[in-house]
Amino acid sequence: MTTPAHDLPRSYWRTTVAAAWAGLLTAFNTNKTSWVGLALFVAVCLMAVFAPLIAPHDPLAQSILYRLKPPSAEFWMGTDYYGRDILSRLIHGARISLFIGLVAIGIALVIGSLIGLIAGYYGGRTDIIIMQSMDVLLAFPSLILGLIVVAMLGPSVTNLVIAIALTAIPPFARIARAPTMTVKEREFVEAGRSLGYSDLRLMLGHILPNILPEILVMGSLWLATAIRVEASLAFIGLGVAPPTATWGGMIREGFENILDSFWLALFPSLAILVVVFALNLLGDGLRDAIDPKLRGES
Amino acid sequence: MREAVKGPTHGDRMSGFVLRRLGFAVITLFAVLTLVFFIVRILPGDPAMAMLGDQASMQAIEQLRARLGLDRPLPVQYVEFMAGVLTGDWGTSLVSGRPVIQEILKVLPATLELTAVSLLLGAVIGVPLGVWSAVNRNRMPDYVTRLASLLGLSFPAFVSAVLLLLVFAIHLNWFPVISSGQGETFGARMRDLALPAINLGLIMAAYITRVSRSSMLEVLGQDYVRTAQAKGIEFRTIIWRHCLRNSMIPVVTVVGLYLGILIGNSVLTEIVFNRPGLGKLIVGALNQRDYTMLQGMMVIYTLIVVLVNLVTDLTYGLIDPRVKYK
Repeated sequence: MTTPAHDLPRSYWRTTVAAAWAGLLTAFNTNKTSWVGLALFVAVCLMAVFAPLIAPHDPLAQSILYRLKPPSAEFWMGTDYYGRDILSRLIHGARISLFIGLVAIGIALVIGSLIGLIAGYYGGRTDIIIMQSMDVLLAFPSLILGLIVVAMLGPSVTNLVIAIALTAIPPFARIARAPTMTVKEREFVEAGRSLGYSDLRLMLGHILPNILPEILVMGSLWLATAIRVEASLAFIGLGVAPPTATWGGMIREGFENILDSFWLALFPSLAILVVVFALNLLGDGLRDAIDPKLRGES
Repeated sequence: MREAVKGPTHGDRMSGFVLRRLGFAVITLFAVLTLVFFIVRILPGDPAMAMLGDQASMQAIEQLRARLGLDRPLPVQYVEFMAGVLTGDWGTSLVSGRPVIQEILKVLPATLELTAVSLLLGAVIGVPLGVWSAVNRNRMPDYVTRLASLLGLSFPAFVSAVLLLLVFAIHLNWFPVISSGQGETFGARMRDLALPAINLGLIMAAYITRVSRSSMLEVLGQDYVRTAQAKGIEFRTIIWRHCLRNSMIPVVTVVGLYLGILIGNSVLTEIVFNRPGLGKLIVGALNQRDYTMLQGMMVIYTLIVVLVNLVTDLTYGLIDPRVKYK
């Protein structure tokens, strides 16, 4: 064999990372419902990206003539109090929900995973202190925490992202910590350490790629929660300011006319439900398949 | 005479366990209260300025800051805040002028009533469904239950509330649209409670079904279940006599685990059904920028969370003696 000694940890590591990602693919194939969830979610994402091309009307165009019209051939989902087309607002509203959800969960995933990596890698007192403070944060109901933070900072896209990311950091720390504790005992980490690699290099370059599939699976479940929380805050009145279309805000407006114009609240309600359900479908099937506790049974 | 070797008695272990849990609860309480204190004061956006608006004069803002005690040094404010929380002096509402703690205690029973009934409803539906699903693992009843429970926990509470309201209160007219929560007779009270409790209860049932299912699956794989089957005991008896009691232990923790979700959903449910409770109080405080009330709301939620988690932990220890020895 001519493999140089310093390349050994790298080749070991490649095999384990490949195995971790292959596990994710297997998980997809054993749970067909995950594909359904993924397809639905991708469809909604495409709808959001191409919103201006798909939407039949301008989501902000008001018209007194078309106030509170029930669903018809021209307005498939009816119009709202200002005569705006509900379907067009729904399509554009997907942008806000998905943007806030994806950015907030992206931030929480990065910060939370780093915290979890550090806690799991160093263990001992560092671990105890970090995880206890995460538990304290976790103890507070996330909707209430988000509510207070947005109320203090003021409702805007940036502040909503901050509030939702803040509530999602502790769960990611927990998710990343557990597999870190097992992976750090593996040979390739030991090998890397004996070659004098720094802790940071081992954590980010060697352990993280191995545990990333698990973190991403939980990410899809937490994205569902984030979208739910954003809509809830908008419903309470702490969403992105009108006239921008947001699903939670549309339900809030529709709720005022619920007695005679049910379609105002009904369609955005269904939209939220479809996206959250799709993400749960995606993440739940994968988690069952990836969870080492359940692996091996079927 | 020979002395018997003395080990810790059952009573010793029990009180040790209770003391440890109690100590942990006190530490968590202080930590979260400190967090509340800093959230209100450190976040940008001065409460006094937020309340009076951009147009207010510097003098008016300074006066309000002095009234709220915000002009004093942070450590002094911290000690006063902690002392106030412990002695029941949570300040006075900036809107109503009444003590915050009184306003909270006035609506607390309505929220507790709603959450307790919902939790009960969730357990009554969720536990049997979870068991049924586990027993029929990977067969039709299991798939249907799993899909239904996944759908149930995908519902934002206000979406399901709006849908229930549309169908049962507006279309079918079975229940009142607005739930005052202050019905004179028991019947009127129950009618008021029905839709909100069903809304919250169905969502909790989704969570409880899932926990019951996975917990039951774990128990079904145990050796003593196989032994019982080998002895020829009827399967139904094994499930109800042997498995259920053991599988219910983790289900108890569900209350502590999903308390945050329960609280968040109760807020949304109360808003949709216009029912008095902590949810309506906190939204009112938000809209009117009642900063002392908001702080009080965070304190009461902290107390509820810490207390419920303590009770869940202790119950867990009581049901399952093995926990105490850890």
